[in-house]
Amino acid sequence: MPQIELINVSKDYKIRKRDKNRSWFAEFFCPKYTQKRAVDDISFSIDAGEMVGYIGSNGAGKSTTIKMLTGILAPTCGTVRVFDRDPCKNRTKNALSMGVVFGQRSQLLWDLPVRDTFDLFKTMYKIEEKVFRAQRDMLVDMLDMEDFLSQAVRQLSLGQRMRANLALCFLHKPKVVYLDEPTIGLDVLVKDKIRAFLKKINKEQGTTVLLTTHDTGDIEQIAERLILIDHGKLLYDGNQLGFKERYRDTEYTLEVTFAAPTAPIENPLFHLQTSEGNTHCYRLNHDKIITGEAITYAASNYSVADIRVRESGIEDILKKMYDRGETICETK
Amino acid sequence: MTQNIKLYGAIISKSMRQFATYRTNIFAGIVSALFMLGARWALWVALFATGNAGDITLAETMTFFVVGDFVMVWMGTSFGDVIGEDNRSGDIALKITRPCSYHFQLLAERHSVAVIETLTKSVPIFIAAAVLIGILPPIGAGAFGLFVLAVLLGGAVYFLVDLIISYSVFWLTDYWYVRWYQRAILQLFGGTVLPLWFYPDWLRAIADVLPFRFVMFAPMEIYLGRLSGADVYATFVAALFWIFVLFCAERLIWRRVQYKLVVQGG
Repeated sequence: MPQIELINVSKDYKIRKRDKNRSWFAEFFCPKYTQKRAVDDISFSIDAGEMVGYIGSNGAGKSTTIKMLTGILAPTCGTVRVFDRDPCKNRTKNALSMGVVFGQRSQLLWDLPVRDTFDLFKTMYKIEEKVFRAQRDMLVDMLDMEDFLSQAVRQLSLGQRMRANLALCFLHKPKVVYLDEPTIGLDVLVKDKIRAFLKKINKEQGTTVLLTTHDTGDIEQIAERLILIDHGKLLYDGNQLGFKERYRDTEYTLEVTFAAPTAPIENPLFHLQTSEGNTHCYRLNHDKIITGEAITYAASNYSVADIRVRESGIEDILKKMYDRGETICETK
Repeated sequence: MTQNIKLYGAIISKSMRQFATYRTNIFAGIVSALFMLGARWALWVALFATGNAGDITLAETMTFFVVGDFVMVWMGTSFGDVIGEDNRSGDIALKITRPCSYHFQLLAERHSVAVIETLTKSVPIFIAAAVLIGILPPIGAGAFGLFVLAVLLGGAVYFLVDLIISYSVFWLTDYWYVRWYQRAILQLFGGTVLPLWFYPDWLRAIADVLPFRFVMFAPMEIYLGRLSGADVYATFVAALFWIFVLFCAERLIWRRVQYKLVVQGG
C-alpha cells in the first residue's frame, strides 16, 4: 500500500478576468471569471521511505499539489489519498504523522527563543517528554543549532530560521514530510547542511520526503526519484539516472584553450560557439564523434594547453525544457 | 481533553512571555488605562450633576464600567483581524495543517491577549477605582455565581457573532470597515458605552430583542442586582436560544468558507 497516492487529480482555480476593453462599470457589476487549470490529470504514488524531488518551473502546479496532499485544498476531480485517507477530511488526524515546511513561511514564535517554540509544539503534537528530548537533541545536533537555540527568533539569520523551521517539522517524528523549497535564499554551506540532514534522517527514521525545489543541486544530491511537472501536466516520473538518460542532450561542449593564438579548428564536426582570447568553445554531437576521439583530434592537430568537457546537467536539461514549454506527455 | 487544556495553557503562557519581552508596552498600557478611568469618572460625575439619572446612582454606573471591563477585555478584539491576516499572508495554510483545529488556535490566541489585558488593564483600573472612587460589591454570593454564568453565556454569544462576521474576510479580503460596524453595533445595542438604562424606550426595545446585550450589559445587571429572580432565568433562556441559533449559522457559514478556501499566495 503506497503512503501517498494521486489518481487522475486535477485542480482548477477560478480567476477574475479583467478585459481591457470593458469599462470599470461593467467590470464591477458583471465580473467575468475564467477557469485556470493548475494541476491537470496527475497520477503518481509514493511508498514509505522514498525521497522524491518534485520539480517544475514557477507556476507549474507544485505548491498546489502539496496543498492538496496536506489537505488545504480539495482537488476539483480525481482522488488524493495519504495514509489511505482523504487528506481534506482527515486533516487533523493526518497532521500528527505529517510535517510541512513552506520555504517562505515561519512557524516560530517571533519574540521568543527557538527553544520555546519547540516546547509549544511538544504539547501541540502530544509528544512524550522522553521521545521529545531525544528527538530534539538529535535535531539540534544534526542541524548544528546549539549556539542559537536560546536566541530570540527575530535576531536569527534566514539560514538559522530555516534550520529551526525544518527541525520543528521533524520534531514529532512524522512519517511524511513535505518541503516546499526548503533551501530558498540560503547560502551554500547551509544548503549543504540541510541536504546532508535530509539524507540522514530519511535513512535513519525512514521518513518519506517530498520536496519541491528550483535548486538543481538539491535534486542531484538528494532526490533519488524525480517527478517533473509543467503547466500542470506530469512529464516525467522515475529515477534520476533515467531522467538524465531520457532527456540528455546528445550534444556536449568542448572548451579548448590553445597555447598560442590559433584559427578555429577546421573540422565539420566541431561547431564553434564562442571564442575568447585563446579559449574556444565547440559544440559537438555524441552520435557523430565521441568525447575521447574529439579530445585526441584536437590535441594531436593543435598545440593545446587545456581541454574541458561539459556534459549537460539537469539544469541544462530543465532550462531547455522550460524554454520550449514542452508538452510531451509520456510517463514511465 | 486534558491534552487540549494543556495546550491551551501552553499557548497562553507563551504569549505572555512573548508580551513580557516588551516591558515598555506594559507600563504604557497601565498608564493609558488609568487615564481612561479618570476621563470616564469625570464624564459621569458631570452627567449625574444634571440630575437626570432616574434611579441609577453614580456608584452603580462606575461599578458597571470597572467590573464590566473584566468582561470586555475577553470580547474586545475581533477574530476578523487574525483571520484576515492569516488569509492575506497565507499563514492559514500552516495553521490548518496542525493537529488542533483552527478555531481552537483562534480562541487560545484571543484569550492570551485577554489574559494580558486583564493584568495590564482591568486589574489596575479595578484597584485604582476601588481605592479612589469606591466600587460596589456584588449583591450576594448567589448573584455573583449567576453573574459568572451570565458572563460565560455572553462570551459564547459574542464568540459566535464575531466568528460569523469575521468570516466575511474570506469574501472581502479587506476587513477593517466590517470591524468598525461590528464594534459600533456592539456599542450601540450592547450598552457597553452607555448602559441601556439610559436609552429611550424604543431603542431599548430593539436592544432587548438583539443578542448583544448578553455580552456585558445583562451580566452586569445581575451583578448589581437590577435583575433578579425569574428575570435572570428568562435572560439565560434567551441567551441559550441565541447561542443555539448562532451556532447553527456559524457551522453553516464555516462549511461555505471551507468550500471556498483557496489559500492565497505561495
